[in-house]
Amino acid sequence: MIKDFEYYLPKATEQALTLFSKNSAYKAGGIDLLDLLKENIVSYDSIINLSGIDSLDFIDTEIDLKIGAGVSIQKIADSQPIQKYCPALSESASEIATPHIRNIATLGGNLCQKPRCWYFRSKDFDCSRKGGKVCFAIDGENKYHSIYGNQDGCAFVNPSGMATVLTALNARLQILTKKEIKTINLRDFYYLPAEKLTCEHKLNDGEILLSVTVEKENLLRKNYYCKIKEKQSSDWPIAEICIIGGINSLGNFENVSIVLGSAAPIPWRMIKEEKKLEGLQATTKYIGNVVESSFSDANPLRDNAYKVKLFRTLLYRGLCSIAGLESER
Amino acid sequence: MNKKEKVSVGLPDNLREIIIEIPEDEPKPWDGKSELNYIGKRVKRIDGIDKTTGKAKYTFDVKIPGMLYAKFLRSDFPAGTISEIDLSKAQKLKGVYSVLPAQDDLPLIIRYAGQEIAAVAAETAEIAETALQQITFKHTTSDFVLSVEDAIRENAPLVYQTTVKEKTTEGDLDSSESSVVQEGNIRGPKIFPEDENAEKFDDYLRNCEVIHTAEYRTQVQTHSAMETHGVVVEWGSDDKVKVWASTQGTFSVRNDIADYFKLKYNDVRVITEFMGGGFGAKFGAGLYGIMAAKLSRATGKPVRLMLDRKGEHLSVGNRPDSLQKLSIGTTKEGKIKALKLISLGTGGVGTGAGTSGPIKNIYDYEKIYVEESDVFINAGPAAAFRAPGHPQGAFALEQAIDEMAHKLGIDPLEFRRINTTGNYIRQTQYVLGAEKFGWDKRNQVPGSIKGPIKRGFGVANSVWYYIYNKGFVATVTINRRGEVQVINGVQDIGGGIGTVLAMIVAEELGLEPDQITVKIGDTDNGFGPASGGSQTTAGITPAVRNAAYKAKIRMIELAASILGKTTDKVTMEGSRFSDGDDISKSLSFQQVAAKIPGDEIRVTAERRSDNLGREEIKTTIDGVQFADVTVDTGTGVVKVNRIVAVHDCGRPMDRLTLESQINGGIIQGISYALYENRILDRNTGIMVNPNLEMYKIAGARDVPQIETIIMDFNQAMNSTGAMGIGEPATIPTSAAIANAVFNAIGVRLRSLPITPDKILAALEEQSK
Ligand SMILES: Cc1cc2nc3c(=O)[nH]c(=O)nc-3n(C[C@H](O)[C@H](O)[C@H](O)COP(=O)(O)OP(=O)(O)OC[C@H]3O[C@@H](n4cnc5c(N)ncnc54)[C@H](O)[C@@H]3O)c2cc1C
Repeated sequence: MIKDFEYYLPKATEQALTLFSKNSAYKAGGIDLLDLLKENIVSYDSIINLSGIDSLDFIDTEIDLKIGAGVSIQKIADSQPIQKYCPALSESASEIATPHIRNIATLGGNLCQKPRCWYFRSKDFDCSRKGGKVCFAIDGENKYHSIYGNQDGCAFVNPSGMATVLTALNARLQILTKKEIKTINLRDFYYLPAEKLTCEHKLNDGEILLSVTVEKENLLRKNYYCKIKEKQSSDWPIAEICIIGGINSLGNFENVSIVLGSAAPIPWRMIKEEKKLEGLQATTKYIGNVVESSFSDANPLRDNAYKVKLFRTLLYRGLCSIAGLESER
Repeated sequence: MNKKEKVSVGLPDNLREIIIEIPEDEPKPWDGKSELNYIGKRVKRIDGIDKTTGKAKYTFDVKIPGMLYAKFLRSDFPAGTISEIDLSKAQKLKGVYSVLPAQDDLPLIIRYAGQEIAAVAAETAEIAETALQQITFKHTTSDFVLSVEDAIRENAPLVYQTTVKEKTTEGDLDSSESSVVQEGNIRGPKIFPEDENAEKFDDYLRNCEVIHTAEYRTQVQTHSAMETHGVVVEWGSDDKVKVWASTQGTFSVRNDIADYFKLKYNDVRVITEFMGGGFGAKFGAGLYGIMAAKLSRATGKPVRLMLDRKGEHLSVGNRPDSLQKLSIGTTKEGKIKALKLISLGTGGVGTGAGTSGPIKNIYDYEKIYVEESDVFINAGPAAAFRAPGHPQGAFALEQAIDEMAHKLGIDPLEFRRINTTGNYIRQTQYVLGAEKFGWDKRNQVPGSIKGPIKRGFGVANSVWYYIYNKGFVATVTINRRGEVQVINGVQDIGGGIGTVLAMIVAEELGLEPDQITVKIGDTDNGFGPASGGSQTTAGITPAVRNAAYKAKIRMIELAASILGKTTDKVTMEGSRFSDGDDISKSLSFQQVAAKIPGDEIRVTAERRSDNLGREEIKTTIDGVQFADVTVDTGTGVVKVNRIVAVHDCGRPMDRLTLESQINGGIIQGISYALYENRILDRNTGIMVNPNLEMYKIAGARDVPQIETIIMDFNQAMNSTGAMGIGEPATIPTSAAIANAVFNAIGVRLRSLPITPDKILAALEEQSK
């Protein structure tokens, strides 16, 4: 049962900031927060609804691409500038959940949502991420769990599709604290379980995510995004990839960034592969070589080794797509 | 007194005339030559607008002043014994009216995680929830088993220390069983034919020219109806009990409640005005119904007990899984000689895991041998589920048939054809389906398509049975204003029976369906069928037509007296009554009705046995489905592009609701084939996906193009000639999809659900 709480609907971020006290939570769309409350996974004394704050709801393309944390997922999917400058972001937005949820859920909530691991989400399991002693997934039902970053007592996968894309786009987050507006790189935003076990990201209590910025140089580049789901209606990914990159005048890969979703507790960058690709001639043979040698460092659990095969396909298809080649796989 | 009628029976383009004998008070059956206004046409649901606008009130929506909200406390461990329960703290909570244990006396043996321990009734659902947390108990836990393989091991922990009697409902096929042995966690085997000798049979099989043997697995599927199980019970101070129930058998709820509390049937009234699906799991009062009644009796207030989604997944039914070893022996030419099935399956703490329907009833064979057993595990009980045993059985049989065809080098459809030669309905279905589907365009060599995205075609047969019960009583009334009602206790599980009843009465009286008031879903309305075994339409429609016919005769008699003629001189055109000698003299329906003595004509008719004195009628309901799928071999994702479904089901009543049943059956079949799976945590026995997020069900984007061919098959065995379709349509879908996947990629997936991880593993295995 949901414990009674105070409820606030501030009109400005500064007001929200001052309303925040010891056991408060911000609510944006509430899609995730209310689920957690209803399942008795969290409980708060006060809930501060951010959805009345207009200043969080904007898309700005004047210099860089800047999106307010309060913009709905559907708005991101439908935005013409976003479709033009970074199509992977609008694609990932349009693939999330259901139309109903996309209309309500926000960018900020999508980036800050809690893990969807079924052990974490069930009151019946006192798991490590809820402060308990064990990760039930490691020896349990782990088909949908991580293949990277799962050796430190927790095996969930980062659930945010847009985080996958925005990590590839090297986005920055603007965060309002009591003192200032600070900036954090999305690539540094999430914690691995080894760093923190019960907290997923670096937003401190009371801080408000204002906006997400993708710098100009990362717009209008080649984009590839693919989300694989078991079923096509409103399903979570079993694997997701975003590749942002370019091919230079010699036909070589240049400045490629590759990020996997549903692979690890954080959006998983393939830094080694990015390096291997730098300056490499973009042919199916070379792409094949890079793909063959990748994933040797993955640590699949009993039921999710299939993800490695799947990611290989996605990596191959993605690189071919960036290179403008037909994929044979 | 019987009369003789000449009727045309068979398929529309191949009708034969036969003479049948029918009771004097029944109309000539609708047959292949009847020209009708509504029956067999596409008529929209009479309650469609009410349902889509929310005006329709389901049990879930029932709110009565003073009503309490009840909830269950469930065990979070799969096996153990509760020796003491302390309800006192919960009882003292403000707003709590009553707290009762789920079982009157202790100890309470817990056999699965999710089993009910106690129930609370409180002013609000929130208070009830809080009270649950105040209940404490003393318990011990014990070892448990979660899979068939583990349960049949030597020294496996026993789910039951005692012998279990099979519990069946109107949804199950046969409730009679001869002595079945129970040893360890295995209940069975049931052997068919009972006198067959296993070794002799094996000798026979071994001597067949070509033999195929393989093992097939299916998963546990939960019913997941939109509306969860539940009731609102109002126990009156006069000990008369009124129950609103989300049920597919109003009378079975009444009987359970009356039997349990030793009440008169006449003092229990069950109402199901609208219901959000059942699929076989909603017969009888259930523990939730009994507990709600106890709580209502204890508090003197109406009590609502609707399960939440988690309770729904855990405790009120599922389709058992199966592990089927199937063998086929044929001649070199492909004639089936021997069929053998060894089937194990688990209905959790329940029974009903048999899968042998398809293997016994589809193909011609010389010899058959079946052994099927229920295996107990520490999981929620199974319940009848849309064609119990048949989707499982068809998944194994129809893939095995395909594999055999492949082995013999015969086209899978041709192989089916030459082994069902005695069944002319099937023979016709193959031709119609293949043509519509474009079977000849299929990939001749499985897996041969170039590139990572591969398309394949598959086919599978289904079988179901013509089932009906007797004694249902339909009432038709016509009052002095000419208003017409049809009345019966039958509930509409969602198939649209109310619309069909209106159509039948309208057809018989020359009126329009929306002129007929339909009163159903109430045990005070006369005995009606439970919606199990696909018998609702077959069960109730003859009684309704016969009642409407009797009402019509009364109207004709009345018209005759007004016209001053004998009844044989009165003709009826639409709803007008004319003087046969002088057509210009005619009376409208209203004009005749106005002369009804007293207030109304009220007639009843009963569902009797089908017509006697004629050749045996065909009692299987056949079907064949064709699937077109695309498999992405790089990701393992299967997409169903198209299903063509050919089914017979007697004489179609409302073709629109009939098609809806087929669509629904296919969608549920796709969901079973590719997505649904109850997943128990292997270490704790707790279901990890008791919701509709991670318990995956096909949604709009997963629905392919569906084309149906409905064969009008007239047997004139009673006044309407309807048979059933609700169950048949879901039987062959998963097998057709699996066969199409094989055709696409050249690898067999013998385990459901066919998920990407399994496809990728199978492809890797093949490439080794
Ligand atoms: C059935 C289903 C399927 C889904 N499938 C997908 C999917 O495939 N891919 C995917 O990416 N997501 C998926 N989601 C998740 C969904 O996108 C998120 O739940 C949603 O985006 C959360 O957004 P919200 O605005 O409702 O967040 P809320 O629930 O309001 O908030 C979530 C968290 O973010 C914090 N927060 C929100 N905004 C701010 C802010 N401005 N500053 C500080 N903190 C903030 C809140 O305090 C809270 O902790 C699915 C959800 C469901 C229910």
